[in-house]
Formats: sequence, C-alpha cells, structure tokens
Amino acid sequence: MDRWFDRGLQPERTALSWQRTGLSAASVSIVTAFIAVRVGLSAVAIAAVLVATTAVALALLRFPRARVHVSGLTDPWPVLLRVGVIVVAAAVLGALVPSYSFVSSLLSSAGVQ
Amino acid sequence: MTHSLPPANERRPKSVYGIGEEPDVRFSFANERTALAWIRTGLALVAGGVALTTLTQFTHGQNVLLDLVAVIACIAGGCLAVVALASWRRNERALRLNAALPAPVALVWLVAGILVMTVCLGGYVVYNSVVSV
Repeated sequence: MDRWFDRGLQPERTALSWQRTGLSAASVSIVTAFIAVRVGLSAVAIAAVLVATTAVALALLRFPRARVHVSGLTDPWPVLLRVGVIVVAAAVLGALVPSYSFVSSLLSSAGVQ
Repeated sequence: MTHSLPPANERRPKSVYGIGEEPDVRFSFANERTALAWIRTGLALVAGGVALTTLTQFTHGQNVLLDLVAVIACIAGGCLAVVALASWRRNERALRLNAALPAPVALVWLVAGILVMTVCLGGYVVYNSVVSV
C-alpha cells in the first residue's frame, strides 16, 4: 500500500478535482441567484444561495488532509451523492428562471396581462 | 495491507463494495475523478443555460427560443450529473471484478446534443443577421 504513496499525487489530484467541482457548482448557483433576483423570483434566489453555500462546504470538507492517503478511509460515494444532488438542484433552479420568463412571454403574447 | 480500511459490510453502496476484491487504489481515485469530470461537464451545461438566461434578461427581456434552449441546457446538465453517479458505480464494479470498463454511453448523447444545439443556435444567428440587413 505504501508503494504508490504520493507517486503521481493521486490523492492531491483527486482533492483538487473535488474543489474544482464544488467551486464550479457554487459559482453557477451564485449567478443563478443574481439573475433570479433580477427577474423577481426571490424564493429561487434564496434556494440558489443555499445551494452555493452547501457546495462550498462540500468542497472544503474534501480538502486534502496530510495523512489521509488511503482511499478506503474516504469512500467517495456519500459525498459524490451529495454533490450530485447539489448539481441537480442547481440545474432545476437554473431552469426555473428561463421557464418563468418563457411562460410569461407566452402569456403576454396571448394577450393575458 | 488493508489495516485501515473499514469492514466491507460497512462500506456503501453495498452493490459496489459487496462484490469482487479491492482494486489498485489509484484506479479508484481515477474513477472518482472521472465521475467528478462528468459532473463538471453537467455543471458547464447548467452554466451555459444560466448564461443564456442572463443574456436574454439583459437585452430584450423576452426571447422564447433562447429561454427554451436555456431550459433544455439546464435539464441536460442535471441529467448528466445523475449519469455521472451511475457510471461511477458501473466503473467501480468493473474495477472490483477486474472486468473490462464499460463504454461511456453519455459521451455520444452529449456530443450529439451539443452538435444539434450548435446548428440550431448558429442557424438562428444567421437568420437574425439576414433579417436585420
């Protein structure tokens, strides 16, 4: 088990990959929050800020700790599942804003005020 | 040497860790990073959708086609995240059983979807610029 230790920096690369993912999720959610505020969907904005906070927390929790180099100690599935849920939530929130403006333009072109 | 691993029956999901034998830990790490890369691809699609929404909000305010494309991009991004988790399980099972890795099915769909979307949006841009001349 020690033969591969730090060769190729696998744990570090994986931890950095987690961080990239968490920070990307956070930035997408923050932009969603801004645009939701602009459109006037404040509930969506609040949810997006919550999603962004959770994404940052998940990224920080997978930060490389000096002596944890055995993959079995940190099986990825539980965190992977949470990040998956976060991304799906970000996708739903991101889809809500254009759906809202899509429906409202259809309504206004149908003459409903 | 598996002295620091938790017992096999405590590791989740059971459908993965209940079968086969412990693979080279580098391969598990690589599988983990592959899943994360797929998740980021999904996130990029969501980001594209959100960017389109921002664009329509800051220009015309109302553009049914761009809104539709944005919704599709966001939903596709969410689906890719789910696919990423499913492929992680499939790949980890294959690693533990020392079997051949399954082909990345989502890749074909992703490329086809992006091609269709590129052609549609490109056509829309050309159409708009011809009309405005």
